[in-house]
Amino acid sequence: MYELIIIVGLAGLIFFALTAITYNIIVYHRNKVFRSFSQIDVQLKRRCDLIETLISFVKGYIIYESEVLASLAKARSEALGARKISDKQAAETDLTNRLSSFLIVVEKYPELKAQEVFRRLFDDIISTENRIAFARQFYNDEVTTFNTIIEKFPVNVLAAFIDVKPEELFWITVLSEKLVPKLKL
Amino acid sequence: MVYSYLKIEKEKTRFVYILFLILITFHFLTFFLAWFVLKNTFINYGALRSGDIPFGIYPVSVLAVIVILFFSLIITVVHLFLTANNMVERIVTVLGAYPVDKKDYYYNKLYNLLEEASVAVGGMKVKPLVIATSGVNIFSISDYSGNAYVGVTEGALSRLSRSQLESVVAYAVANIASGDSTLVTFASSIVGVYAAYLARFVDQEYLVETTFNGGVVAIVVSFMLMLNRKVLMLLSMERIFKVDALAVKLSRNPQSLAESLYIMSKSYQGNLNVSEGLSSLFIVEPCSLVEELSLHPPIKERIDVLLNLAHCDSSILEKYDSAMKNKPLPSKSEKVKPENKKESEANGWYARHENLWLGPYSLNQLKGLSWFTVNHLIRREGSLAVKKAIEDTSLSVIFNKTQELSDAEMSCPYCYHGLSKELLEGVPVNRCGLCKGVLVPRVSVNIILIREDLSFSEEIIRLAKLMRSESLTNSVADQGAIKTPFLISCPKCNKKMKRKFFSGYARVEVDVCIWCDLIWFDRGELDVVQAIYDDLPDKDQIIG
Repeated sequence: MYELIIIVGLAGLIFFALTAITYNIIVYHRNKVFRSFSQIDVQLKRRCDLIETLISFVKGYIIYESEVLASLAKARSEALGARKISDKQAAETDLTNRLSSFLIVVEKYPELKAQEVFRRLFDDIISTENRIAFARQFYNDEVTTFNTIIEKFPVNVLAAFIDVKPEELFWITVLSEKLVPKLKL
Repeated sequence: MVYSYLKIEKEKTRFVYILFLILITFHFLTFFLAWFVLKNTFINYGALRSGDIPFGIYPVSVLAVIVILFFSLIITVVHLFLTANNMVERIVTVLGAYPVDKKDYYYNKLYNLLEEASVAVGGMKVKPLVIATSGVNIFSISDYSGNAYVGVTEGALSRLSRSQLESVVAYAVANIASGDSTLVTFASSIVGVYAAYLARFVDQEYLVETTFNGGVVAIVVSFMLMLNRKVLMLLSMERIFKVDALAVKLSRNPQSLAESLYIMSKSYQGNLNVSEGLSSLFIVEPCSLVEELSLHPPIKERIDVLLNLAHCDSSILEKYDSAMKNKPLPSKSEKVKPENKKESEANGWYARHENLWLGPYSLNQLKGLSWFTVNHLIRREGSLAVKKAIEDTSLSVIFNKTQELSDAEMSCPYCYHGLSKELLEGVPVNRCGLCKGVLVPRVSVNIILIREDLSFSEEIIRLAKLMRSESLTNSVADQGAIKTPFLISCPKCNKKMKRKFFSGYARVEVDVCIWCDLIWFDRGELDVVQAIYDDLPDKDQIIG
């Protein structure tokens, strides 16, 4: 009888330990996903700030294509207002497309391109685009690892029990990827 | 033998234990020998004097061995603690690296690239450093407290394209993220950094004069370097391939990394002031003369692996051979954009105040206008383009209070006209608007020389050749002060400047303030120095 109690007790202890370890692994990876998403958020905010500076800088130069500036400013405010990942994706895709159109317009203004302030601003925007891409890459890697962990057996049982769901990947449409701003300076 | 990532990681863990064992053995043997020699000396000295004890060899007792072992353990722990403490700062000092100035356009690029790579590894904080040398190389150092630095040479900043620089920065960050950098920094700090200090000590003139001291130190340095090499050889070279692979994962551009490695291996490495003990911190070893003795795998193998990843063959690298031999030099006049040239030729600005266009004003006059603010409309003399004052970068010095003070204090030592701050190849300098003389910090001169090979007017080239031939007929070591009755005062501290040749290889007379470390170049003198520099095969000879 005692032997049975010891065996059941040990099995229970092992089960509890394994559950605790698995739970901690899930929490660890979920926090990594949240942290990596905050990286994207930081870079998106940076891009919005840079776009604001860019708009105020070029306002005096670009007179005839004011609607391009207006649409860029609108896309920027929408991107800032988005909260959910799906909303953010849509808003950021739109902003990237507007930015690309805007940079095509800038090609017509050589005196603007010659300005050092603009060149620096442009460098920073290109760098921010790269940072967003890298942050997205890092986030998607983390999400993939997390989703794989919680979808595998037996972790999926515990994940379902504690109501942990797979996270969404952060994507930007292929069309906008092709439109990553490229400007010859 | 095929290496896997797991094997490399296991090897790294084993390396730390082995390092500890080597150190404890080293300290134990040192104390054991010292104890043995002292014990036998004292006993035999007593034996000789009194004759009570027989003369002979006395072994160390078991108790003494235990005590020595205990002390060795304590000393090893203290040694490791001291090594780990401030190791990054010590190495930065030895390498002569310095933090970047974000206002400099070149450094802004480096800063951006480093931030991009940091984001790619999850937002790790890495600080940028620069070494003023024409060599093309990059290094990474980090410690156990989370301090991490990536250092780039000025040569790499000016000679590598953005994508190439991005790939080498990715390599350096990958090296830090994988933990390799911390391990190599630590291993180099145990012996290598002290060897580097001592090697510098050997170079001191007064020590060389006393051959005995110089010889002893040189032997000690050689022993330390050998020990350092043996320690670093415990780490497998395959880890470098792993870091290359990680760098490619970050930058997604194996071709650029292959191109960068190729350029680095073919370029002159410059006077990096790197002791052999610290050379393994770099992406390409700067002082490895024999590939067989190198602590890095052969560069060709690394390039082949990367080209294979990029699905390219080595023929794509041939263009860099021809580019390095026959690099078409952009002329200085081409370099200045027409729009900029028009602006630079303009003498002043008109400013709109109370619905009236006033002026033209010089930069210094604008500074003195009490009503002039960032929102005032301005236009350049000879131009119709109107813009806000804040949008004109040339006027930024007016609105920057810290710069304004230093500018206001400084005036030309010849014509007493106010010096204005401007960027010369991205480096801030102070130029006189009248005589066109230029005041440059000594460190910045090196940076200007290293950056971008520009061609010059025929007159400058003729003068450069003349100066160069003079340096060949005179001793290159002749760099003392030139005796002259007229010495100018330093624009910054007002003390008398020394008239000197810029260097033994560029016998251009310049005025040097030894207190502020500033150099005054008369009109065209800096161009002549640069022309001589561009013509030299061993470029770092000229750098002071």
